[in-house]
Amino acid sequence: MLIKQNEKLVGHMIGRLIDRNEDREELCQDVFMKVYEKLDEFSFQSKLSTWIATIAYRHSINHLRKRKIAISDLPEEESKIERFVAIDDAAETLADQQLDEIVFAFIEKLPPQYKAILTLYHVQEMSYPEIVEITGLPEGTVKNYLFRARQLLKEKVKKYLGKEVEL
Amino acid sequence: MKLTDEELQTKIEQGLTETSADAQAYQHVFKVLKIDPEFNLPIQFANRLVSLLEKKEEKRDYFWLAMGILLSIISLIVTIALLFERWSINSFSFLSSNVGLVVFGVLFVALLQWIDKKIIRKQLESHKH
Repeated sequence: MLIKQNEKLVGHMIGRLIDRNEDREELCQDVFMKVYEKLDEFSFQSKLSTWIATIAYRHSINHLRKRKIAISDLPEEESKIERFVAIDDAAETLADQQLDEIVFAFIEKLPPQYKAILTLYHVQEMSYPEIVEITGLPEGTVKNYLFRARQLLKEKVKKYLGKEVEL
Repeated sequence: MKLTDEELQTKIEQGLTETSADAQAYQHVFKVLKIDPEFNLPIQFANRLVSLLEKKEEKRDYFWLAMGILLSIISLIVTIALLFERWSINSFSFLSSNVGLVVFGVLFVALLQWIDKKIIRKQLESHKH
């Protein structure tokens, strides 16, 4: 019951943060194992889903840290273009695919913490206090990451739409 | 007047429409952000996980059973060693005069163990699930 109710939440979180498909299912399994073992420690001070999402988030971040993947580094303004030129090349190969898929590809390129916040806010429709609890980041940082992530995605889409018009 | 990115994000989140290039790009972004990520767990995931957890619990039970048996054997050996060292076999004579009490004691301990295994543990497990 608990697994069925929360497998989408955990699946979405892990699916967004972890790029290697072979690791995803195993990590979801680990998260639920941890939830089962620590269930006695759940103090009902927050929603059960928030608590489970916290475990999933921390487990994913630890996994990424072990793989030495940067968690929240976004390129500085001057190197931003350079970073996104690389994505542009990928976008060109996807030229005939739908814009939605291209936006998904851009989301994939964002740092893990940005992706986590986007998923919790837009897909899971969680509030800022819930996201703060899950990520352990200050509310200002959460809002800032959300704003910057959307802004970066908008810039990419705008650029892509501009190219399409030129064609 | 050109709206800032912050203003645009707020407006689009509120469901208001704008016609500028920035606003259209934002509308695409917000639409895609609401779509579930592609990754989905297999249908059998929950069942597989439950059987995995059950196996783990079973292993834990066997571990504690083995520990219990080991400790019982050790304490039995220690008890016998102490009894034979300090007391004679006559020390047990009180048992023969209180057979009923001994039988009751053994049955009572067995009953407690049975209740723990069959009722209390099962209830705790069902709460966890």
